[in-house]
Amino acid sequence: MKYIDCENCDTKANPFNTTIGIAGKVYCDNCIEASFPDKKVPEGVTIEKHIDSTVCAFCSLDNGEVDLDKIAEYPVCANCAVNIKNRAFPLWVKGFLAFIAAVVLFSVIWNWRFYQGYQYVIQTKESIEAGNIPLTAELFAKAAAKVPEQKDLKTLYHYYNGLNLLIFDKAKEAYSELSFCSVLPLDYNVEYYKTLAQRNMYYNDKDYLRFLNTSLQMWYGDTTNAEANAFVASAYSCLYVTEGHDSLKTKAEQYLTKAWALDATPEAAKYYRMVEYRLYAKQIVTMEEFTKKYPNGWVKPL
Amino acid sequence: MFFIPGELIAIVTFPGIIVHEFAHMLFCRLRNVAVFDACYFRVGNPAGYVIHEGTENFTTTFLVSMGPFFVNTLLCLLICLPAYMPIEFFDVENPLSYFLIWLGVSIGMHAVPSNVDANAIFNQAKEKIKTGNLLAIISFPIIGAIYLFNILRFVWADLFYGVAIGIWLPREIFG
Repeated sequence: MKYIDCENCDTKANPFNTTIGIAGKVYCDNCIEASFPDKKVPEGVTIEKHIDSTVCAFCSLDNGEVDLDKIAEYPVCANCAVNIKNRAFPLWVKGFLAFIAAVVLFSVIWNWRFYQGYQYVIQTKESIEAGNIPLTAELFAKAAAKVPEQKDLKTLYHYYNGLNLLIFDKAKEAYSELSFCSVLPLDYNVEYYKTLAQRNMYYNDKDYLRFLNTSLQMWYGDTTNAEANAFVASAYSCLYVTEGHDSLKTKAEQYLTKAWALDATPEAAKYYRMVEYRLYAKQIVTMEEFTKKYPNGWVKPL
Repeated sequence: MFFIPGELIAIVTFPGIIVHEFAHMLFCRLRNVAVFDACYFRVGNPAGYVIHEGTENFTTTFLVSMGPFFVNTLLCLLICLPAYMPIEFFDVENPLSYFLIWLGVSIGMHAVPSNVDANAIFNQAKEKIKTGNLLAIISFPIIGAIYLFNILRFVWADLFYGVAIGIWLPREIFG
């Protein structure tokens, strides 16, 4: 350990570490207390903390007269040097970080089904744009299975499954599926599709009067819709075949004329030709039967 | 804006302080910088600190000072991402999600280094820039941003940063 005399009170052999240089003058502990009771020195005065290069700054180990190695400006004994260089994280900090890591991992695993559900929902956007209704229904079913808490997913599954069943002429099942969808916004046209399913059910049951009523119900919804006009014409054509009244044929032709005027595309024309065929042949045929019978189309003979 | 004592904020967001100091310490260890003392959390000012030796290596100074920015930001995002999906996208709320959001945002709030850290970078950067050190050049706008951010802490910039990383960023990622 090094020693130094106080230049203020002339005390001899003060441990070097306990003294401070103020304005180039060495002060011992007592003099510092006495001269600067509020521990403030005038501005501009230089202060130098004396560091004994033979005493460890961390554990105060006295190394005699031999200087210790330094880390930064501090003399450090061999033991403290090892501790400083290899300072470990306290156990509680390690525990805290481990806890955070565990929570994150648990949360990722716990919430993984939401990511899967989200992926399915994202895929439905593409399938809807592509008009792939069966795939859309399947994706919503998968999403709903992953996130059962979100009831809208199940409803959307019922909706697209209902549409899919309508396409495959399973009207009863379609109606049942669409009945779950009343909570959907108006632009999903749930009521329209339900009526359509009902209409198809009556057709399949050969209840042509109700078939006509539901067709008219749809027509009232939009009288300028070609499909709605064609549906009414179709219903009148079925009634004409079963009851044989010419007034029913006239009605069918009137609605068919409106449909032709509104949409004369080849796809629509195929349906109109089927209705015309029913009126001409006095025979109820489905679109499938008609297409099978006349794969190259049919035109009423003049 | 209303004033809440810093000590109260520190208590409420204590995980962020622990992670902040952990990040300083981690980069000290990675860059072989001797650490004299470390406090990971306390009720006081500062709420945590790591006292380490100085170094002439600017990359080391930069990494040690900026460590919390990288670690806290990354952890904030990692913690909030799983919590975001059920709440925001599926309206499914559970206590775990809210706990994670608190944890993540608390950590994100303490991502930005203090002015002491910025000073350490600045003091070396102004010397290193004379030698054309690229990191020193890049660090100047970063230092400016840190100083500005620390002024804006008065108007809750730290909370906004935590929310931006923990809530806004996942929203942008998942749409």
